[in-house]
Amino acid sequence: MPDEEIIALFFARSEQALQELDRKYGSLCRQLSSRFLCDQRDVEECVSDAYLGLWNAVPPAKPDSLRAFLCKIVRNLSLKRYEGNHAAKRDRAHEVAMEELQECLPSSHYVEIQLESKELARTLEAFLDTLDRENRVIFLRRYWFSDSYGDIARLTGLSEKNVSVRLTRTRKQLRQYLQEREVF
Amino acid sequence: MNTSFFSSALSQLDEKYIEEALSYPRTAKHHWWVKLGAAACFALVFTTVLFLSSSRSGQSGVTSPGLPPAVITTTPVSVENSPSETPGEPQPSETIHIDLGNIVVNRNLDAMPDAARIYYDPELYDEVLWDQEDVIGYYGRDLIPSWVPDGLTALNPEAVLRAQIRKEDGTVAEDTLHLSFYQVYGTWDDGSPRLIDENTVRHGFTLSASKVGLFNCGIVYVRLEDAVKASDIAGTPVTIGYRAMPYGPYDPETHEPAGYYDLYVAEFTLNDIKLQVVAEQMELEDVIKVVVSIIQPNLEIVFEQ
Repeated sequence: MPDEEIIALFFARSEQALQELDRKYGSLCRQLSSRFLCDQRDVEECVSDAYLGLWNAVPPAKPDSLRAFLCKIVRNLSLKRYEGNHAAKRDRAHEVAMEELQECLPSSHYVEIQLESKELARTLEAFLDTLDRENRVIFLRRYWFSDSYGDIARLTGLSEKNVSVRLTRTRKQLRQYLQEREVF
Repeated sequence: MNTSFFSSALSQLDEKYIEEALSYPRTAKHHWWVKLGAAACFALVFTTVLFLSSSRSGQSGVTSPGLPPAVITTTPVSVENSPSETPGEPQPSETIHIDLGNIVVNRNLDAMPDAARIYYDPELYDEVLWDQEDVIGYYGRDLIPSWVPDGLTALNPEAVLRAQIRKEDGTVAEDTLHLSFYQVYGTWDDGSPRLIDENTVRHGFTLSASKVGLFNCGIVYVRLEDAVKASDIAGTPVTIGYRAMPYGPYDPETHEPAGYYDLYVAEFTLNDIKLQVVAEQMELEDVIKVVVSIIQPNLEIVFEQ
């Protein structure tokens, strides 16, 4: 079913919207959530909560991209759950991806105080706009979706080594970009 | 700044970046040796298919032309003559045995009523009422199923249709014949038959036929994940889809429907006529019996589990 019709079902407050949503994007949501969470029950709860979140948000929201909107909710909920489970689980794909970013982030905590995460998001968007499409997608797939190098290689047709080199280069660019804007 | 804070910021990126990453085309850049390997694989598969086709061509009632052997899973186990028990009454000339376990039913049916009618400008098209004789002349055969489940009423017993003919060259633009067979639960105030039960669900089926290929007001369906597979039923590849359809009222707290009913869709082609059977609240066996009665009216079916 096209996204427009699923959104129309949400606006009509038809429960069929949730069935259609799960049928179309359930596997994408579970895959994304499992990058953050070990326990399948946590994954299922996060995905269910994301559906509920979407049900509450639409309407009034009318997302341009239903799956991107949904993925954001799933990621946020999974991240929150992940942080709650953080001490016990240290082997998720998301954590491995985030460790790579550690080197290009300031070590001191004062930055969080001075900088709201929303501001950082806008800065990151400006940085992403400086990248070409392929490098931007690789960056998002690695650090937003926590895809493995292998996953990204299959998506882009590049070798894993090439993906790794490109990400290293992009992280350096990000570090320089943040330094120039005194975020560092 | 820790990674958690950074990850939170990532979560607030505009959706356009997420959508871009989601919709990035999966276009692999192959090296020359990959292309060479693919060509070799293709040659191997092509040769194997040719070999299998030629080795199976001598078998009878096992495969159907045009379908890969792996797709076909339903075949008449045996065909035998049925003796006529009552002189003077038409009797099935042959019996086929169908193993229901081998019927491929494509799940994940994405069912959606395609109710949009095409508008035909009267300046450009003539609407012509075809009676039963016209319809049989056009399609080359009577399309009324020879078997219909007990309790169902034919809503278009004369099998008429309104065709749209292009004025410019006389070609047929719309030729869809709808033959509906449903249980009638009473009548509405205007005298029309009430076809829905207490759950507002119908019981019966609609056969749509078209040479042009238009099934408007029917059901369109898409297999979302896997390829659609067909079964060989009485020598004709038939694609069957299934969906458990929810019906109301819905629970205000849990949003659970009151229940589900079976929806089967069977599609096949006979002599350039595209046919579609959409069955509601019917057993798979009965759907297959309807399909077989269209494909080969004189066959008697024996189901095997």
